[in-house]
Amino acid sequence: MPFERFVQTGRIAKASAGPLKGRLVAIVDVIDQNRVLVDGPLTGVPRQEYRLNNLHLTKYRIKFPYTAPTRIVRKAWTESDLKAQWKVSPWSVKAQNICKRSSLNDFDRFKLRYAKRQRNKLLTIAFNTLKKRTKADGTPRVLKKDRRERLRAEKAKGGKKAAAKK
Amino acid sequence: MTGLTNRTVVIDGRGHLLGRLASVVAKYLLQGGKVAVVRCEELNLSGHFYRNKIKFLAYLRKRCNVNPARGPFHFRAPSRIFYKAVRGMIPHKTKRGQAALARLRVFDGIPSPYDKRRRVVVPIAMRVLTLRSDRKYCQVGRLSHEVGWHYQDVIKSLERKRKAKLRVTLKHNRELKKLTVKARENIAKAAEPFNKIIKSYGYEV
Repeated sequence: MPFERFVQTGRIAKASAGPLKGRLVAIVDVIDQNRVLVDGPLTGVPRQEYRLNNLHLTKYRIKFPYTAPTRIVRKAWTESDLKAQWKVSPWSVKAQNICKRSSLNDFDRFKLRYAKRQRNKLLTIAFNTLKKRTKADGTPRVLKKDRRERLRAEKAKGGKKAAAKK
Repeated sequence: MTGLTNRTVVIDGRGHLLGRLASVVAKYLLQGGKVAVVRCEELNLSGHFYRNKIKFLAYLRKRCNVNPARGPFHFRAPSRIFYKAVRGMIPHKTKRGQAALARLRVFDGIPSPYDKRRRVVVPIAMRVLTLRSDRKYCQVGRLSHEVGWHYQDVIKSLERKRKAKLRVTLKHNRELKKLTVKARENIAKAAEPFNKIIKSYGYEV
């Protein structure tokens, strides 16, 4: 079926808004169509009800019986590989980068700008070199310089042959 | 978009419903923004063509009997039809309204320099989003032509030329993009230290 992430016991969700913003939680039980009971023993979230609109479901799920006590949730969470998996997920990486960006100071931003500028200088030179040697339709263009060099090489060969004859 | 900008917002009229777009544009103008609406000949009117033609012909019959030069004036070009719709939604007899209308530009086709500018759409005015899929609609360009607009062919050929030129440009841009990728590969070693710094600050992962 098209949907794979359900609001269900064990589903790991990320709080996108509200007091728990940014934390991972496990859904323990469904209270009604607007609220769920969540628990996050390893992310510092006490068991509480939370609005579904403030949660984004992830693809991860851990197994424990519904309305299991926190102790059981912690055990299931620990036994699963969730922490490591989440660490490398694109979602998490993106969030980490956003965090990094917002914590840059003036000097950091200067270093960043300088690095970008230097790299883009190199890129511009390389690009212009390639562009000069390429026609608009993508085929290579033979430059006069190349032709000249080839002629010079041939002349040198001719010279060598003449020397050999002598 | 949110907020005003000193830059003209270029709206592509293709596929929009005329009245809905006019209301959005009128409000934006009154708030102080500048708008250029291009491709007015591809604006849509809801209702089938014959109905709209009849309505327009009825409008053509309205004139000041003692002196027709006093109006109303029946401009036929799609851009003028749109302009009149916007004018009707702005208090055009006040200084404020006049200033607002002065910030509006309307065009058939996409003339220079707007052909090189980014064009935006107004989702709440788009036919595909607001008109039920089984409802009839027609294009303003066709209506204009049938009630006396002479330049449908001209606009059509100009648009054809523009699109052909654009196709060539896009192809060329694709080639340039390939060069960019290749250039990036070529400098990968030299750029390594810079890329490392950039990545460590959370950019370009």
